[in-house]
Amino acid sequence: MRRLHAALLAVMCLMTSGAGTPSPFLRVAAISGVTGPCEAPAASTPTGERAYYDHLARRLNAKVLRCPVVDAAAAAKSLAAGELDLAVLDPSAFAPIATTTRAILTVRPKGGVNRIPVVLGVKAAGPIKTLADLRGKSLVFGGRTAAALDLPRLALSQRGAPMTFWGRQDVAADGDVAVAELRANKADAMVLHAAAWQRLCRQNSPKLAPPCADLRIVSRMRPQATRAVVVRRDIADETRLRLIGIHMPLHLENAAAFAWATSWAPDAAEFEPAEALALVATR
Amino acid sequence: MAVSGSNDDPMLVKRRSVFRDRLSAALGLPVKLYESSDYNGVIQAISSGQVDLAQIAGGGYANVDAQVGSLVAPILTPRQAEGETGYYSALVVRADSPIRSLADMKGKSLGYVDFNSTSGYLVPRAKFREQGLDPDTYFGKTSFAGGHTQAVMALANGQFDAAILQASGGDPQQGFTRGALYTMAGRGFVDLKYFRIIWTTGPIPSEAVIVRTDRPQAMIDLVRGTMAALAYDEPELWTEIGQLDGSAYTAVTRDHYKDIIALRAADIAQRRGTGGRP
Repeated sequence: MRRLHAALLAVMCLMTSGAGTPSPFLRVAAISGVTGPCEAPAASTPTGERAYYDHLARRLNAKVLRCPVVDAAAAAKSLAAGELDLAVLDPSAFAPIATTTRAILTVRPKGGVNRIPVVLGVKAAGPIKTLADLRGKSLVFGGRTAAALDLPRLALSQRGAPMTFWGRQDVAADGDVAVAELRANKADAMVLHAAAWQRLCRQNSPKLAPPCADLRIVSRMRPQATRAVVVRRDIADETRLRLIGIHMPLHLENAAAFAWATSWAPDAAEFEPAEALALVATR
Repeated sequence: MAVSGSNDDPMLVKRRSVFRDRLSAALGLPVKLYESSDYNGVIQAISSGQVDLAQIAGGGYANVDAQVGSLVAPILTPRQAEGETGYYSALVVRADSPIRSLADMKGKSLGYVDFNSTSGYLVPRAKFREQGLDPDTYFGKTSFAGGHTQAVMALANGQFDAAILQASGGDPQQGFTRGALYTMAGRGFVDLKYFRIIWTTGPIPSEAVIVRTDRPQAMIDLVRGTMAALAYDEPELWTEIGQLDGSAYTAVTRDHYKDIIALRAADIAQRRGTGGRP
């Protein structure tokens, strides 16, 4: 255990600011309409903001600096240039730096679901291979819940298939009814959330044929995040994972810090981890 | 890290080696996976500080909490696609059984899973009491199967008229996809058509990743981040290791399990009053 503690102390000191260079600082973008040097939060810093910086500093055992930048685009540019370590970006600010940075956290809204994957499926025997092939075709959803209807609609819309893309849309009671419609040629495509697809297509006995052998997955996609916490890709992995581990319980541990850290998403319930390209829909 | 082995799917414990490897890479330290043949082994290992973290059901954590209090804390629990952070307890009979409801179970034999099982003992007994049934006298005979797998096999072999099993990956309305019955069916050991669920209760707070709070905070944060990131970094691997598709870890504290902790305390008090029979 002593070895463990010693190694963890080493981990605690390992903050990088690019290219694996150790740094005792974490520089956080403060999108504030002005540009300025990175500094520790001033005494006049609002309580919630101060609470966030203090919380991060305590948990990372590092100085956490506030770096004023004009807007999200400037934050992205500075992040990519190694002048910042962490910024909250939207898709347009992230797009130019997508190859050198990555999303690590988004938020789940109060009463909402995570950014769960949704699955778009068609009959395997048919000619449809891509989402574009489905323009003007009919689509069936597998239920009316947020996960079954709202999230798939959002994900499809973000990929160029909004309501108007489809010839007809039907909302079935559940995945079983939806797949029955697909198989009966009452719909050209079916969209389910990942768990519903798993329930439908799970093989319950090796003696039986795979239940979805007659279906083809056209696309499996998470809804694009509207904003995300972004770091450079060359940040040490343990730093990225610690940032995730610190932010996830923030709503439980430090309400003031959480409220400030998610002020860009007023209905946020909690931070959730994010895949690298959470801010990109075309994947 | 301690996990309970020999449950409904031995491969699951093997697959948990994925977490071991991820944690080892993140911590820069070797991480050992200690497999216990029963719930109590995990409980004692984490309570005594022999291991740093464990994956355990809510009832097991309640037992740990009773022993060491705030020295161990839950940090993560799975959140399912539809937002649920719980699973169900199902009363299962053979499909050819005349038993159709809990009322039909009066005087019949019932198999529990394990004293430390949340869905296979703790919660259903509390719900029986809520429904006006004394679980110590209502059934003709009760005993512990020793695990979910054993409970399914005992039911299939006619040792019990019914067994209490964990069911997840759905709900009573849309059906379930996970739990011993479904895992064993998937592996060809039993056929689902020979079983029937006659009663369910839940949702019950899902299993927790628990840690020793006397370990460095940096380690706890790193463990939380490493385990939670997997669902997003490698979604295919996430489902391969037995996690439900579309699920992800969410942060929790002791408060998430307070009802289970209260149930455990009440059940222990009840058992002491009845000589400790199951």
